[in-house]
Amino acid sequence: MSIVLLRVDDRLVHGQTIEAWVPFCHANCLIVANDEAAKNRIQKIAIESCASRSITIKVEDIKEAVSDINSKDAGRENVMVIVSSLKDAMRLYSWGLKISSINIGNIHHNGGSMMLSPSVFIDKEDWGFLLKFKELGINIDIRAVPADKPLKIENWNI
Amino acid sequence: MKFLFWQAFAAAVAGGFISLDRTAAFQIMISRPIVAGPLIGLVCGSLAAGIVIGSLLELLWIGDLPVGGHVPPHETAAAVIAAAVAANAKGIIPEKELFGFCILMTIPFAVLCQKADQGVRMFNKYYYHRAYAEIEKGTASGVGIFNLMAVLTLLIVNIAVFFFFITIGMMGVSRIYYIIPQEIRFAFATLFAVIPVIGIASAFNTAHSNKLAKTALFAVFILFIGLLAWHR
Amino acid sequence: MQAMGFAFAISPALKKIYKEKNDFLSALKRHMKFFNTQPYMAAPIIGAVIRLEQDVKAGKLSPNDVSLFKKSLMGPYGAIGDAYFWGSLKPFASVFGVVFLALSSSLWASAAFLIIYNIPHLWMRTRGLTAGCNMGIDVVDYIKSLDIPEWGKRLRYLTICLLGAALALYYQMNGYASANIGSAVGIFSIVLFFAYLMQKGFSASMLVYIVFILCAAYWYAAPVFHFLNKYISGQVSVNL
Repeated sequence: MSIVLLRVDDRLVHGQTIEAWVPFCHANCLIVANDEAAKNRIQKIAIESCASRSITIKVEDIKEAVSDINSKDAGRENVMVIVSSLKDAMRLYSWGLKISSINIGNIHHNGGSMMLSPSVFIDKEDWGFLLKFKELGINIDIRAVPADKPLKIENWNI
Repeated sequence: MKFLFWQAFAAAVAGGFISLDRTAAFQIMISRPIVAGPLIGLVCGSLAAGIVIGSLLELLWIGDLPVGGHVPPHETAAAVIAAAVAANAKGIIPEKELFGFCILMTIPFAVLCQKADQGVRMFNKYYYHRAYAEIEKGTASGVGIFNLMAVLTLLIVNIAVFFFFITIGMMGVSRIYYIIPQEIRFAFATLFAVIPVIGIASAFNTAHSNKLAKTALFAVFILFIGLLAWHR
Repeated sequence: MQAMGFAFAISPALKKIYKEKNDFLSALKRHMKFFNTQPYMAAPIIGAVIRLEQDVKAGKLSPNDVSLFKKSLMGPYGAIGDAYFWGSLKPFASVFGVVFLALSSSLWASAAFLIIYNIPHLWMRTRGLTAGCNMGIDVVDYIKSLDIPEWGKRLRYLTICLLGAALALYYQMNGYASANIGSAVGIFSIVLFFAYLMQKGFSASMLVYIVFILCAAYWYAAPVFHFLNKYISGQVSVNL
C-alpha cells in the first residue's frame, strides 16, 4: 500500500473527508487509526457506513494500522490515513510507518490555546510533536480542505 | 420599468420567507433558484423571466456545496433579486441582454447577502448564550423562544436586505442600461448564451469527473441530438 | 451552531422522560454541547438519543455514554448526508427540474424538483427518527444496511445522463439544427474545458465574469475582424 495522505483530524471522518479529500487524492482505502474508535463498536460501524464500492474504510488501532499499511500483499491501493491527534501521528511513526508529509485539518479537542489556523488549536505537547516532525524532515501542511491554501509554520522559535 | 413599491416589497417578503428554508427551517429546498426564481417572477408579473433566471442560476451553483467550512454564495438572494429585476424590466430591454445583465449584476449581491447571513449567524451565538443562561436559571422555555428569535432575526434581515437590493436594481437597471455602450450590451447577450454551458460543466463536476462519466455524457449527448433531429 | 436546534428538537421528549424539573434541565443542558452533522441525518441520532435517555433515567447508562454516542455519529453521518443529499440527490433533482423547465416552461418543473428531492429527504427524517427510537444504538446497523453512499454514486451517473440530454437541448435551441458532428464535439469539449477549470479552482461565478470579459473583448474587436476580412478578400484597400 502507498499512503497518499496522512491527516490529523479530531472529528475523524466527516463531510470534508469524504467529499473533498478522498476524490482529491484519489484514495480507494481509508484507514482510521484510532484506539478508542477501534474499541467502540458503534463508532466503528458508523464510520464504516461511509464506505462504498469505490472506497473501503477500515477502523483499526494504531499498531494494527501500521502493520496493515506496511504489509506487502495489500497491493496497489492508495491509502488515506486519519488520526485524531498529533500524538497518534507520532505513535504511527514510532511503530514504523514511513511518513513524508502530514496534513493538519482540525484540532479543537484538548483546548489548546495556540491558533495555527481557524480550525487548528494546539497546546505545548502538540508543539513538541510538530518540532519533532520538522527535525525528521516531514512536510507539515495545515489546511482543512484541499481548496484552501496550505499554511506553513514560518516562525519556529516560540 | 417604473419602480413599483408594492411589487418590490412583495418580492422581498416572499424572498425573505423562501430564504428561511436555506438554513433556519424546513429545508425542503423551496429556496433553490429553480423554485424561487419562477415564484418571484410570478409575483413580479413575468413567470417566463423567473423561469429563465431560476434555471440558469440553479445550474450555475449546483456545484457549490456547503461542505466543511465552505460557504457558497446566497443563491436564493441572487435568484430573488435577479428574477424581480428581470421581470420588472422585461418588455423594455431586449430579453437576452437583460438576462445576461441581471445574472452578471446579481453575483456580487449574492456574495454580499452571504456576508449578511454570516453576520446573523454570529448573532445566533448570542441567542445560544441567552438560552443557556435561562436553563442555568431553571427555565427551559428559553430554548424554544431563542430558536424562534434566531429565525425571526434572519427573516427580518433578509427582507430588509432584499428590499434594498431589489429597489436599487429596479430603479437602476433602466438608468444604467442606456448609457452602456452597445458592444457591452452585445456581450451580455453572448454571455447569456454561454451561461448554460458553464452551468452544465459545474453540474458535471459535482457528479463525477472520471472517464466513464465523460464517455456517458458524450454518448447521451449524441444520442439526444439524434433523437431531437429525428423528432423533427 | 446546531446545538440549540438539537436541544430544541429533543426537549419535548426529555420533558416526558424526566418528570422532575431539575433532572429535565440538567439533561437539556447536556444537549446544548457542540453538535454538527447533516440536518436530515440528525433524525436517526435524535431518535436513538431519546431511547438512550430512557436508559439513562433507568440507570442503565451514564449521561456520558449519550454524549459519546452523539460524538461518534455526527462526523460519519455528516459525511454520508453531505455526499448523498447535497452531493447526489440535490444535483439530480436540480438537473431534472432544469431539463423539465427547458421542455415545458411551466411551474410543474419546480414542483417535480421539489417532489423528487423531498421524498428521500422526508423519508429519512421520519423513518430515521422512528428507527432511532425503536432500535436505539443499533440504528447504526440499520443505516449501514441502507448502503446510502452506493445509491449516491448511482444517482450521480443518472445526473450525468440528464446532463447529456440538457446539453443536447441547449445545442438544438441555439440553432445548430443540422446535427453536425464537428460543432457537437466542439461544444462538448468546451464543457469539459470549463469543468477542468473548475477543478483547478475557478468558481462558476468567476467563469461567468471571465467569459463576459472575453465576450466584451470580442464585440469591441469585431469591427477589426470585419475590416480584416474585407481587406483580405480585396473589398477594401488602404492607401498609406
